[in-house]
Amino acid sequence: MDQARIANPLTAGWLRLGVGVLAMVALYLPLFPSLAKEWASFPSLSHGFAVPPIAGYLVWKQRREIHKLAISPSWGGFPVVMGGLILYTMGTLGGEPFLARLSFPLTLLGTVLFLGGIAVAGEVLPGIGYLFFMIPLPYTTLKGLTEQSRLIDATVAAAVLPWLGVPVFQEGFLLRLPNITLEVADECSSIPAIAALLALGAAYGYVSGRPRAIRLALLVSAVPLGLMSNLVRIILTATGAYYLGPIALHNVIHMWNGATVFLMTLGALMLLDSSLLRLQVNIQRSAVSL
Amino acid sequence: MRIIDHSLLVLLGLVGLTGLAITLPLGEGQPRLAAPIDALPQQFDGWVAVEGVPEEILPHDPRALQAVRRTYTKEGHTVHLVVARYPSRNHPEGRPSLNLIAPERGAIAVQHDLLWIPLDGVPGRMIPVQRLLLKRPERPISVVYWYQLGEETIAGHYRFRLALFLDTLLFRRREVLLVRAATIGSERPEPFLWAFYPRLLKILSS
Repeated sequence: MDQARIANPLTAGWLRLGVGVLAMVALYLPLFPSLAKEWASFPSLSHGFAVPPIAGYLVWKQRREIHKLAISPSWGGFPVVMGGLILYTMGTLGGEPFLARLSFPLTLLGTVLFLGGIAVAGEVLPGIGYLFFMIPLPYTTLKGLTEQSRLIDATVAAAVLPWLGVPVFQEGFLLRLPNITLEVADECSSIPAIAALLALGAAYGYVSGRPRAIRLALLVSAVPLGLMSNLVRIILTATGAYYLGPIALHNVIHMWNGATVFLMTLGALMLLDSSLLRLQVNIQRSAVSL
Repeated sequence: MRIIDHSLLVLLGLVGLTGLAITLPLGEGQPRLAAPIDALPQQFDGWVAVEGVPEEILPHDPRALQAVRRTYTKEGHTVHLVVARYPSRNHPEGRPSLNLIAPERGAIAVQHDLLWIPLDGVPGRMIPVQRLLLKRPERPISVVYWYQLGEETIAGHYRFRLALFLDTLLFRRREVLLVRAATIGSERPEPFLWAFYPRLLKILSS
């Protein structure tokens, strides 16, 4: 079929695709109340509220390209839909909501592939794929990682603080200062926010329209930048607690730690983005001059 | 032009079937006869129990349907034991709470490892159990724990969750217990566990 032919959006094929997608979303509606409850209960998961609108935007952004395509249903989508629905059924009946939630983007993509075809699925893939970022990791996994990161955060902070004139003795998760003892608690770790940081990196790279290499670099950098931002936050808090006393713990930087790390990571990503872009331009200029 | 074609019919059919399947009434389903964990012996092999375990040593888990909390002593050695029953169906809010296995809040450091113990008395047959070593400001606490799915002893969280998931899918209802034994300082729980484990299995198989 000629992919360049402009398709009338009111053709039967597009209507079938719309009905299919709506039916699939309706099937998954029971998942969303518990998901929204988790997003609301844990600050590190609150980015989940932003993921569906961002995913919708990523699809809407491609509307001109999608509009040019013709519907060409593919039976290749059938096994993807079947696999997703089996996962959904097993996850729901077996009491594992993580599996059920993971199946949603898979089933949605399979539906578009099955009713719309490969070309249409390719255009909506970034948007549908983005939905994976709204799914919280199992707590069993997060707990182990969080413990490790607490210890690393405390160890690094204890190594850096003396350089800022802060005498400190580390005892496991505790940082013992002369005037106060601080605990690097679970809430201080940035591990639970990994999904938010990856979502941030992915969205930033995609929306900025950068070349693929830069987009990948931004996505991969989001997590280490986020972890570093959290370390900086811990060190600043401990330094403030030494010089100003416990009142330093009641400031917005410490209490809104999720938002602080998010904003610091965003700033770092923007800096990295402009540096990589400048580097790419310089490389291209050097290549041209040669 | 037709809107409904075979592709859409197939998809809507799958949606309908899945919708039916996920609304199947599974029933809460506990095992036919719950094991009488409160029949665990108060005295055996020189160990003598008193009821109760301090909350700061082994926290109470509100998700447990029933719990036996005892402190056993023998010749100056003390072991705190909690055996708790949980729903036999896998559910995120029915499983044992990971945060309440040991008093981790406020711990200076937490170390995890596996302890291999010849729990069932058969020479050379070692069973792994989880051990948490908590360094706390007032005293170090060691908590050894494992999951019992019926007579199956499971140390790992993931393996336990997988087994419970499969049990739920296959409508198999086994007794779900979390067994925790805590000691203070350098006290070792192994001598107590060697004596206790066969008695636990006897209760579960009765």
